[in-house]
Amino acid sequence: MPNVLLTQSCVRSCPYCFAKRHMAESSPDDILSWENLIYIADFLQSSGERVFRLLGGEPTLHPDFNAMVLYLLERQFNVNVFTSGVMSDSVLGEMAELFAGLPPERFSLICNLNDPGKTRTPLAEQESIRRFLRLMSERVVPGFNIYRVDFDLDFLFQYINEFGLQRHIRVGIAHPIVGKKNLYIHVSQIDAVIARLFSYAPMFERVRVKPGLDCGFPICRFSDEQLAWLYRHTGGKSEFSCGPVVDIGPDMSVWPCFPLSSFHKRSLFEFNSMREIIDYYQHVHRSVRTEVGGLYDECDLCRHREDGICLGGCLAHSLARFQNEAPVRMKEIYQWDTTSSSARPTRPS
Amino acid sequence: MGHHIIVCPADAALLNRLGGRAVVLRLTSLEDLDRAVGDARQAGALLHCAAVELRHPLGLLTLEERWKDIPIALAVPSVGRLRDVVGLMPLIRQMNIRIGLPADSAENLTGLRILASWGVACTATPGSGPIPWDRFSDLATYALFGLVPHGPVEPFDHLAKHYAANARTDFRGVWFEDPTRFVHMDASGRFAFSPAELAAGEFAGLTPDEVDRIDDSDFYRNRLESWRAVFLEKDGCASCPGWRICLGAFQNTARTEPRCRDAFGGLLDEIERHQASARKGRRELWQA
Repeated sequence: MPNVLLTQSCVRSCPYCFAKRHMAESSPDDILSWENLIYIADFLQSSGERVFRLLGGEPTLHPDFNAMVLYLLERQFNVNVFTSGVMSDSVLGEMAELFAGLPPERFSLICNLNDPGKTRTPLAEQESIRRFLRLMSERVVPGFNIYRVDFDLDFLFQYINEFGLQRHIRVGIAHPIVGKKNLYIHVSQIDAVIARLFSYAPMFERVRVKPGLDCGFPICRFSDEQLAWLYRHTGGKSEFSCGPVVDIGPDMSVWPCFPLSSFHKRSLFEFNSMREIIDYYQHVHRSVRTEVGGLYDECDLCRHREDGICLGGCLAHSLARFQNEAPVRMKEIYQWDTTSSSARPTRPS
Repeated sequence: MGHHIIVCPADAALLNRLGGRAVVLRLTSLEDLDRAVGDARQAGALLHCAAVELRHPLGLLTLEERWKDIPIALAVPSVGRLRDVVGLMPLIRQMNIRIGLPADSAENLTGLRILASWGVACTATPGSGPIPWDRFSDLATYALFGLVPHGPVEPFDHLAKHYAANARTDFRGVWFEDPTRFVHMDASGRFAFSPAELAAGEFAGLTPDEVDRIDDSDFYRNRLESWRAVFLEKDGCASCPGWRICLGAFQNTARTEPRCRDAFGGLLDEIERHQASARKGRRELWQA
């Protein structure tokens, strides 16, 4: 299911993300219009999608955020929002009031939380997040992006217990945003990240929280014991895939995923269905992976990759590597949108 | 009885003169709806619809379940807060209702699209200000080529269904202003062919019985031909590519705001494309 960006503005400046613009700097073009929201809803409905995922930047910065969620719910979409939890009291108050009676599966939130001990977070932001977690409570799945090897998850378990959050942690690994500067986990650090993650296995069990791995983890870096533990504690739902997820920007541009947001950027209006978009980007991904199978040399001959169980880790690592080479590879690898506001996508006649 | 529908105030004395005729009841309050419908029934008039024009946004209205079988054309100035409208939606979906919003604001054109995407029948109505024509054209594209089924949006739905290449199509019937179908009556029992003509005193000089034989009326026949006056001038509506579907509906503003020409010229192209697409692949069965 695709992600729809309501805005590219954000109130935070997470070190693993490039969306560093603040509200004051964003232009009116940076928010999704009602007309485009309705078009996207029609597009997804005609493609058989029933879940609408809202992202940003910080999606709650959109002036019509709550109204848009209401609209989508009335269209019988289930709405899932990715948020920092940092928002104005008025937006939060209205959100709590409007969606209080809904079952969590109709309206849910994934809150990407940064460790206040390791990521500089102003007090006002921390208080805003706590207010949000307190009010939205059982609708919230906490998310965490690993961008340094010495990460800690203790604060998440504390939040889950303190605020009654969903007993599930969505763990992502920060990948390079190709063409931008961000903090991310290098290939050589993946083993250390996995080891540290599994050092929390007793805590996951004790507090009865399930881990959920986001995309880009290569299966070969997990031991059989670790994979068995994951299977037991996620009901077999762990995946080792790599996109395309498909993000749709406020200007109706589409790209395969967050780290590849400048790669083969197209317009939603060029496609007739989500299937077409996914097929297009899968074709592009396959083309790139004929150049290099995955993160490791072994990926080229790996049977898990042949079987489609693992796709060799995040494509962004490979593409980031190519950027520093002489351009000797196939031309598809070099189709980057290098301007932040290149020719606006137009509706086909 | 005649074929014209009489648009009249919801006055019992007036209605008693209109027995057996189809009527559109003009109301300015929903509180009068039950009484007006009862009066029409009592008089033996056939209710085409109740045209209720209100001053409050849609979201602030109180709708009653007992009205769900009454055909209603509801005209409001704006949608209001979406959270309020969402609360009305379960009942709106059960009602036989079209919701009209003035097309002279971008917010209302967006509101029409929102309501239509929820399956509500809507009408873009004349407003007091200039129409944002780009947005109007955008709404037309949505109405004709939306990706999924949605509520009809007038006047586009009417034009798509009734446009014929070799004839003129008057969309103003969706506003009850098509002289071949509607005649307007004031509280004094005088007739004209639109609210504006009624207000300006351009009366047809007809009685209800004469309305039944309206085809015999010189005033009526002249009114049907009044569109020819546009062609006495070389410019403006006379040379507009969208004439066949507009018929000079915006001629009063066309000189100062000529973008209606682009809007209706483009709309005509879209309607022809829409009809061609609907005909494609359709097999015409032979007639016995």
